[in-house]
Amino acid sequence: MKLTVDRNELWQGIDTVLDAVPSKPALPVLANILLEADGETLSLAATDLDLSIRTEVPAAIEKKGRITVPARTLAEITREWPDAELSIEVQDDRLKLSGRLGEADSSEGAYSLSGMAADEFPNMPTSLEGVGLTLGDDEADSSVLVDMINKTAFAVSRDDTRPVLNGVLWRIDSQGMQMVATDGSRLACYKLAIDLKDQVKGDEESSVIVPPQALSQIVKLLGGQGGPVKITLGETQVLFEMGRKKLLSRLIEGPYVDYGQVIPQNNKKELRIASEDLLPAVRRVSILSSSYTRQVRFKLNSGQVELSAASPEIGGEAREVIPAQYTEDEMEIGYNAQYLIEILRKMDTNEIRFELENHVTAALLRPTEQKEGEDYFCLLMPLRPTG
Amino acid sequence: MSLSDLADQDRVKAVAASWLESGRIPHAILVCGAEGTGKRRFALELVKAVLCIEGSPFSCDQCPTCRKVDSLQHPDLHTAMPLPPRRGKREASPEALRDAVVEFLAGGATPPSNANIAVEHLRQLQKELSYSPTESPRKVGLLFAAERMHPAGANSLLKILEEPPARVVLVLVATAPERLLPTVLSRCQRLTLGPLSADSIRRQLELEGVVGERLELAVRMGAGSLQRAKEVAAGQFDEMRRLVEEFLAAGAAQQDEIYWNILDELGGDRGELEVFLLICGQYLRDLFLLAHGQGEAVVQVDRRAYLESASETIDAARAALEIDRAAETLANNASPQLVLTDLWRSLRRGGQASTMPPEASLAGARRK
Repeated sequence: MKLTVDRNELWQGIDTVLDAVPSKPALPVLANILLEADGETLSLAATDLDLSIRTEVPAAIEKKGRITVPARTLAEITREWPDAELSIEVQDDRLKLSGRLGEADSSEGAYSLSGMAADEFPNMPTSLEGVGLTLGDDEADSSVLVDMINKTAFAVSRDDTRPVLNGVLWRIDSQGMQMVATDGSRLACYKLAIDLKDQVKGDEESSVIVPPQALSQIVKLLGGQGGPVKITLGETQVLFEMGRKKLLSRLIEGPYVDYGQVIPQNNKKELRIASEDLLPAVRRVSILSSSYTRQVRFKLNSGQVELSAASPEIGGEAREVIPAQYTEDEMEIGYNAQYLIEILRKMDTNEIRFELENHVTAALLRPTEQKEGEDYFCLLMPLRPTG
Repeated sequence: MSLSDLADQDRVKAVAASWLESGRIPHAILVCGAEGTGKRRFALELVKAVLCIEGSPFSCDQCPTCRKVDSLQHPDLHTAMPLPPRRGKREASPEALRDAVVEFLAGGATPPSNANIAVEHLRQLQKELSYSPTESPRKVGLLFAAERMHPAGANSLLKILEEPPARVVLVLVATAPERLLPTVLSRCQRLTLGPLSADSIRRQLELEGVVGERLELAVRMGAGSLQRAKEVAAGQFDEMRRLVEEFLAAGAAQQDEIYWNILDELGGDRGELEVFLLICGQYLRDLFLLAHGQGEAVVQVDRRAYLESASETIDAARAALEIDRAAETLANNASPQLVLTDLWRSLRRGGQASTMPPEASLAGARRK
């Protein structure tokens, strides 16, 4: 392998893939970055087995080839390299970096790094079989995807005993997309009706469970650039392609829980509160909630809600009354403040609608106004009221 | 190497081949068999065959997948084995565990008896297996010395055994499968490796430069276990054989001072005494064979002179019964020293003790 590449291009490429390099690699080769020179590009790839990122940078290739070298070391050398051309050559499993460091003819640097054979590196398919679609043309912007992820991924379970709940369920069919996440106490579901008939065939549908790390990484990669994103949901992996960057993630083996049956169908009582009143009030009151249950109690009266909390540890009590639209019977419900705050933050609306039945069944929370085609709701289980 | 290159074990190889050919691979496979019958190698080759997509039914042994399995670098292969307890420290890191498995596969010693498979490693394995495979159509969890799972760990593994995620194959390797939880055992398909044939052990030892009487002795004393045969060839049992010879001869001649020397040298180690009794048994079998004109079949081929002189003084059939009884008492957790003392008394008393129940004779030994 022999090539020359612009330092800035190379650094950007390395910086992109560096996120996938694990801090504690399960296999020695995972601490390395894979370099492949072919055609007119140098491609860089890194993986922690769950997640792989690959990107390409333009380079003048004299001789093609592939090698893996320690990722962090290569990143540091490249970062400190001045803005100039960099020559890369591989000889006997060693990567040699050299080039002029400044204006003067005599200034020159030469670095060499021992590498590992590229065959040891896990394979990363560049394309997948499965349901594919592209976001970013006129119908749906790629920011829709970021929005969906932000509004659901927070609710995934952190407990390892049920692996399927550690991921976000993602369904795609010709009528739209849906993401669901739950940890058993709360559930977030975002449905987006968009016309995907051109991309997804009539009865084709795909549903996969994606680890949240992959989703937060895709948010990060999409954040930097608008641009279209091509998504392929395969049987065991999901592939995102954004220009030169590719992100491939393993999926969690299903099937996902049947969440449909926990969504209450006849929550007739309705409570509406302005989010600018509710969120700060919950945050304040929760300061004096029990550090174990984090319970904040809601006492619903016609026209108002009384929030209260008591902390036996601190020996404090808090009470606030905020205006609300509520016309049903008086009722008292307790919620976990942490969960409620997280949901309220994601709602992104002026007014929140609670749909309730009684003090022991799940509440449905929705933004009062939603964009056309969008259906977002969160489900929150109440806590058993305590004295 | 692939499964087809492994010596012997034709029956289990045929079973594995039929699984691999039909693509109906059980989600949990238990590879069991005595020490030294090639379980480690067999299990690794089985894993290779499951993961390799080139070869059929066994692995091609050339593709990158096979090479990665050999070096334990395959992303869809997750292993665990017992590691010695680390006082006051957290469990070994994944790298340390991997290094230990690599060493174990390269012929490293069996883990010490106080080593357990860490619950943390099993949880990690379970987490890995809940993801879909990266490169191969399946993913494999490989557990060596699976009977050394802590019950809490075994129970956490039950989740995978009961509701296996798609595309998961779990391979457990165990010398003593009866020590696994019955709930685990009942969910595994067993592959039991039989003793290796004398010919294949002989071939293997010849490759390692063992010749002559020593080779013949190692093959016969190995009794189907390559590991044991190698230890014999390396002279690890020479000292023990000397003790056995002294013990049997002195017992017949009623020389008590020699008994005290032997007791001193054996000490109170249960494992040592087990081996001692095993070798005693082999000697007595040899004496019995000699007495019946079957001198060709003896195990101790290099000690024919000793055997011939001993066969005149020792009543092999009776002594063998005593040895069996001692081994049984030892297995029932009696004190090794008492077992040896009792054995000595019955050997030199000319066999009356064999009619006594073990408890009574042990009590007698205690009084003495």
